[in-house]
Amino acid sequence: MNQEELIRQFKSYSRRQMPPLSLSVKEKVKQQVLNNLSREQYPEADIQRSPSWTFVFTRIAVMAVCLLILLTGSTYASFDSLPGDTLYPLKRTVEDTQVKLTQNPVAKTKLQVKFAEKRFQELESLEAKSPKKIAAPVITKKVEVKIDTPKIDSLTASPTETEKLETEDNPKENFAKREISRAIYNLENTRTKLEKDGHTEEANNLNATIKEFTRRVDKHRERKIVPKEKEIPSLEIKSSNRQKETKHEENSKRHRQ
Amino acid sequence: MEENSINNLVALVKAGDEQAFGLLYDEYADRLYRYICFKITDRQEAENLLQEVFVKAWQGCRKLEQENLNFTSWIYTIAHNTVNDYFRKVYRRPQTVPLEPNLDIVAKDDTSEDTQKSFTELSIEKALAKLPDKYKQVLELRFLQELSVEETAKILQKNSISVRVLQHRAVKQLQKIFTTL
Repeated sequence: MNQEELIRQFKSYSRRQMPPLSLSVKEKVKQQVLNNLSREQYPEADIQRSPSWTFVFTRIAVMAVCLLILLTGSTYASFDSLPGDTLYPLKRTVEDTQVKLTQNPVAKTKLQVKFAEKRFQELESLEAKSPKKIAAPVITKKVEVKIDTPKIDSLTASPTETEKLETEDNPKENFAKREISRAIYNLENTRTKLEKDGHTEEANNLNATIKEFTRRVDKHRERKIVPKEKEIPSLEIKSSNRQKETKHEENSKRHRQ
Repeated sequence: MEENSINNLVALVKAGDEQAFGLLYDEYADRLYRYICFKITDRQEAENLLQEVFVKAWQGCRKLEQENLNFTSWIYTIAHNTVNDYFRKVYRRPQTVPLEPNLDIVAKDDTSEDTQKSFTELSIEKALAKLPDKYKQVLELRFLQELSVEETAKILQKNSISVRVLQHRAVKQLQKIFTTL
């Protein structure tokens, strides 16, 4: 069989084997295709692609709970924080928010006093933690030696001196002191407001509290020490006795005469 | 349908004209169905694949550049790739069909159907069974679908010379097998 005849046989065989597309099937497939086309033109109508609102709300709720846990934990951890710590600003923010949300002026005052007291406790905690360097006291003693007494090597000294306990500048302590000043300033404003609103008794009580706080502030700033006068018993006594004896001798001499 | 008419329809389809696309479907559905059936014996699957081919054609038309476009080879390429994807899927997940209780299972060497075919047809059938796929493909596209060398080259992603050589070898091999039967 030559190639042309073979190809002809091949064509006729293949066409017999492959069934033609019936009209009904052709139309059925055409309709299916056109239906798909409509869906393709409006992809946003595909319900499967639209977000499940339940899923979205669940995600939001989970995120909100996680955030709440994080905030609560951080707030609780910040309660013991000191000036200079990472969570200290959070602690102060929580306190300020508490004060702002309190409407009652008397309750507000109590809160402010409580927080001011906390500032002092924070400063004391910082002072207890930080090492203090004490400057070597410079003492010069001056003792006046009397003429009758034998000469003694004199030491000069001043009867009263100020011995200053100096600490190195600690930024955390300075910050704590500034917070105390701020707290006192707020209390003074509150006192003025109480007076204006006619809460005289509360204003007077607050005034006393402010004075107490101011005194404590002064106490932290400087400490004064007055040293006792040192006695030089042997020399001075001897000299005075001698003086007495000399006088006594003179008097007795007079009597004899 | 002439090439110009087809290109005009394609331009309309690009603009979103579903009616124009319906006309293209009417033009190519028979040919593509025979092309698919040459490789896939299951008629239902062939109909599904035909539907898939035209949906892909609709999606692809939007991005089609009409300059130097041969729509015939383009849509045959889609059909060719769709059939290959089907075979790949079947190979990965072979499907089993439940047996019906009264199903007559035909024995391997059942000769009842064979007697109705001529000797030539039987010989062609056996020769094609022994022919490699790449030769069968080129014979199918060139002689059954009656596509040009250039169109066949585009579908098979080869150049025209390769297609001519392939066709020549395919016919020679078929002849050789046929004569040895």
